[in-house]
Amino acid sequence: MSTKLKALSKKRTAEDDNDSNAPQAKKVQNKQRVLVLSSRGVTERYRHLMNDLQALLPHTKKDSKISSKTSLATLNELADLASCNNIMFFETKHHAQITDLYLWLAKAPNGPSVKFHLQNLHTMDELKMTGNCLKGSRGILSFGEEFDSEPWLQLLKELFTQTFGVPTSSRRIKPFFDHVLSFSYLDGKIWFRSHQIVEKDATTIKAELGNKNKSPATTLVEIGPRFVLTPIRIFEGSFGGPTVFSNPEFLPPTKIRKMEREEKAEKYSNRKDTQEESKQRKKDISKRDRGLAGELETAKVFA
Amino acid sequence: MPKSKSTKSNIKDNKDNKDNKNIKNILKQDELEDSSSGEEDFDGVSEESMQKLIKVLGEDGLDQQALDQLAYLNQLEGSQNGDDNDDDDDDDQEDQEDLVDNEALVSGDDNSEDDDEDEEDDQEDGAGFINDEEEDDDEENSEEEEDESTHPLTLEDAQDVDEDTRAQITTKVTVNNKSAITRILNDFKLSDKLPFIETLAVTSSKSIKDLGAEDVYDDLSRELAFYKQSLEAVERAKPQVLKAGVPFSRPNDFFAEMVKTDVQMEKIRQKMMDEKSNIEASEKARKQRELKKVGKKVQNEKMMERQQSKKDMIDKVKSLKRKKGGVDGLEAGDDDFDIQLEDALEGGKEGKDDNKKRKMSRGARDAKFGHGGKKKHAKSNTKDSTNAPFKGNKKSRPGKSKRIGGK
Repeated sequence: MSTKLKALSKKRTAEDDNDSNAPQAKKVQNKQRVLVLSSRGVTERYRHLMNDLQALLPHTKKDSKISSKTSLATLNELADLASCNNIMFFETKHHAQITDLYLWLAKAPNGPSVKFHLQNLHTMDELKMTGNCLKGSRGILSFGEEFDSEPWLQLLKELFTQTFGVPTSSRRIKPFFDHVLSFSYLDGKIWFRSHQIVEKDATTIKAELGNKNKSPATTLVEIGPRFVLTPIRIFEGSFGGPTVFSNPEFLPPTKIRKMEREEKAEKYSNRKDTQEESKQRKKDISKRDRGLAGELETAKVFA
Repeated sequence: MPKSKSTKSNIKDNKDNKDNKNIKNILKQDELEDSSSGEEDFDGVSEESMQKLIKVLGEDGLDQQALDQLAYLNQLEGSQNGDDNDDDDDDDQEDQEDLVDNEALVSGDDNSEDDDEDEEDDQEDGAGFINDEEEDDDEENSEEEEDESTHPLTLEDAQDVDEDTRAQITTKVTVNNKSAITRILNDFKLSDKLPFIETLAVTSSKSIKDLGAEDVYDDLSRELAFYKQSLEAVERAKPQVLKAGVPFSRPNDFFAEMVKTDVQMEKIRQKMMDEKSNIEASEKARKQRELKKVGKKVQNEKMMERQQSKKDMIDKVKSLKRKKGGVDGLEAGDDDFDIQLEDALEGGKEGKDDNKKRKMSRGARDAKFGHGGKKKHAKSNTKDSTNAPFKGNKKSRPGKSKRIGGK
């Protein structure tokens, strides 16, 4: 009996395999899950950005903050535990009351990984961003033409496509497309914007049929967040491995601040130097005058 | 805002000190080591052991790229590897990153560590792929040679060069290992067979510069360029999505949770309203100010006119007096002069309206304004008047605003 059952089940599984194989060959699926987490000591603004991205990307999984002391390689294990194949890690570094944010994008567990410096952050909470979209709708990804020019930019594009592109397999997605995420490469930086797609409905189109100066059928309204990424390095592995690209134009923010400080210091020291000089000059002049006065003293003249 | 422009220009000036230090460090290292290349020292693997390893592996274990590099390394023996600078460049980064950097440097030149992977790739992809790889490698090697030749850092050289070139030497070294990048990209790339609906990625047909973002610091044109790029993506994505049999636009009656909460949207709406009303208010205030200005101008003009007329009159009187001449003349015919004066002032007008017909006859005036008779209680109500039906004013006086506006 049991052997019979076994044979039957085997047959069934074989059939299942055949069935599942046939459509699989036809339909290749893009399966992505992103682990989103930050280092300890992240400021509220950066936390809000994380929340915004999570709201926009339904295929993300949030994890607790990790201490800055743990090595970044452990992130791969965390990703494995959460069954994620992408990691978006927000790393903060404090320098005298200023917190810099670095964004890591990595393919777990085999890499590659990229480290960016994140600047010019505007979160969704800002009232100037008036757009809105469905929570969980899949965003269209828009890349600038520049992303096809260099191999490293191609790599970045692929990485963005995989982390920011919401796969069809995601459970929390909603139908319809009402927002677009754009990545543009300009001035050695990557600019991120997200817009709501506002389409005119049929009635307004009809109403404007005769009108000459009708507004375009599709318009965009910014949703937010917006930020600028400066690529720093691309590593072959996930959070490690050899560097395959390093940005020659990147200056660490600490260095920039140091230079600014030095400039200020130089200004100050220059001022102090000239002050000292003029003081000395005045002293010399008064000395000389006193010498003259000594010669022309009344007591001497009318001796 | 990005500061790269200004900072870039400042690098050379401000980095000099630091770079000098870097160079000194490197030179010190050189003196201590006095060996071939620094990269092996980082790994903790001596040259001897490396050579042993190579022997054990034999030439079969290496592909074309590795062989090239081996030959190249032999050639360079004695001279220094410039990649060390790279590490020193970022010395203000945190330890962790430095660690990574060191790791990176170890195989920054794509040495034997990567070879195994390369080999696998080659076997998998067949002969055609190998050729491609080799071409890439050649390119890469020539690039590397160029890179190395730009910074032969021996002790004498370092003393000879001036500070600017030293700064250049240390800042120039960067990694951009194109062949490795393409290999990695091919490794983790999504299949090309994936239909568009899976990825939804659209690449713009125009560069961002063509879209109008010439100057990064011009916020408006830059944002407009981003907008255009996104819009193009949407317009291109829509037909493809529809082709895949997936609905694109959200119907009006589809309600679901939104990214921004209703509270947030209400705030946004409120802000927009506030802004709008502020603009309107300021516009109104501006208009009012302008009106006031105009009103003042009119007033001024009127005053000037009055003054002018007064002046004219005085002038006329004076000129008449002068015409008449002498004090005697004045005394003699005082009345004559007055009449003349009046005539002059009246100009071409007819003389006094004595002869003119009165507006109303005496009787009419008496009837209207009353003359004689009982004065008291004339206006008080009588029995008849109270009983009489009320006749409203035929023409009611218009409101103040109308009266003012009509002027």
